[in-house]
Amino acid sequence: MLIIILVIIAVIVVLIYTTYNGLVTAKVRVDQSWKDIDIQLKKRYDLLPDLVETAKKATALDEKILTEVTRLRSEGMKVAATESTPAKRSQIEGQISSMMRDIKIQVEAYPDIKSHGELQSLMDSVSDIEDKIAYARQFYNANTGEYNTKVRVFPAVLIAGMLGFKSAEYFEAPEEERKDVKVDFSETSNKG
Amino acid sequence: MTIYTQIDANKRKTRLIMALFIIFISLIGYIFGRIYGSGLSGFGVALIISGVMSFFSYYYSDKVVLLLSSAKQIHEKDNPHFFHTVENLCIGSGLPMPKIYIIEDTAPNAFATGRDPEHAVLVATTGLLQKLEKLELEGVVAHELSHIKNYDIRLMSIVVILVGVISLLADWFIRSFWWSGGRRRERRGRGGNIGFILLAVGIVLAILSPVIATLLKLAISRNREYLADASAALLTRYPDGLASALEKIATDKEPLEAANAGTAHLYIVNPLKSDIMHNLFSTHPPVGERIQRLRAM
Repeated sequence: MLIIILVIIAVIVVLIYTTYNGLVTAKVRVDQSWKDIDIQLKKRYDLLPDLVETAKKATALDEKILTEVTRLRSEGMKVAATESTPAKRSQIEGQISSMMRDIKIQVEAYPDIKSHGELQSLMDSVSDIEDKIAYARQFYNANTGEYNTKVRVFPAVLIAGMLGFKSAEYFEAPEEERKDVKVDFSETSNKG
Repeated sequence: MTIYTQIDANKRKTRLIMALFIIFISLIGYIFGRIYGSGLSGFGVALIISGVMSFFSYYYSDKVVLLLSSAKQIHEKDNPHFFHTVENLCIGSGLPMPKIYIIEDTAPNAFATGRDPEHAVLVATTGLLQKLEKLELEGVVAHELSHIKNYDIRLMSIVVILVGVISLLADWFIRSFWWSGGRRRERRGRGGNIGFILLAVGIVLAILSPVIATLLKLAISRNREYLADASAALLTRYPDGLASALEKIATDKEPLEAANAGTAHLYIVNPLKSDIMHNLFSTHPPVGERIQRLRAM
């Protein structure tokens, strides 16, 4: 009888041990990929003042957009410094991303863009950083999806709550942004 | 069929093929050992030598391949556009940045090598960079990064080594048969019927085993291509990019001078454009089939 009880306890211990390790691994992946997003967002914060300054000098760009970008940047940095939950941050960062696309469209419509080499190279950096943010977000959301599934399935669901594993938040792209990305795809492939 | 189920199915198939490989090696090892009941020490020496060779090629195969293909390493300033494409997709798949090499050749093609993601190398021809559009190039890079992420580069290195070991063992067997076989046959006379049958089986195996091993290698290689295509589609979320890149690479008429039979299995599309024995001896599945699967995703 004693042996049976001991075996049952041993099985439970092993089960808890492996589930716990699996959860930790998945959570570490989520945290690491969140840092990757953070790195790219910070790089964008560094880039924005340069872009705003150059854009002001070089083109007849809509001043309202530039002031709005500057405002969103400082707001985003404030949020990042205090409580950086993915959902909160994606709200502001998503707005900055859609501003960036507006600026890009305006700059591309501006015919003398070739004479402003500095702005052109800044716009290239902007496109690159936007791509990187998009890919970092994709990787983060994939890891988050995997982790959230792990937290919710049996038997992990029994102990995840006890051990403090909660579902992680996604870094969402606003609905309108997703549509724009699709448009972007066909545009680039046509232009080559 | 979704992308996820394709990846699972391919992983299962690969495990099966690897198991077949191991059974096959142990089997011929056993039979050769039985025939040379007294010559086991010679067999051991062969195993040790092939082991040392495997170890060496495990660590240096990528350098040899790069040397054979006359590829040159590039850095960010040499081609920022291509560099950033690789960088972005690495962020999307959580891989460290591989080293990037370029082959000066107008035929579009690409491959990845190295033993793990930390020591990976991504190689593209200048033709690939010129002829593909952004989304197609992303598809190709994602395909190669998938080979890195799925450890295909390691698997293929190991499989190539296993094939080498089998060929080496078969070669040793045949050589030692020529040296000692004649004498032994005289000694036995007519009484060694079973020994003779065993010997005959051994000779047939020695001749056939390198061929069978090569066929297994090619089967593994074909499977990995489908898996890499599926993973690439998952990474870029745009299967059509890779599909139209494959179309362009396959219909390109220029031959790739840097490729040969030894390195052909590495490339994204088989660079040796011949139609003979297309299915069994091909390192790649038919491009048409791959494109069809991608378009269906």
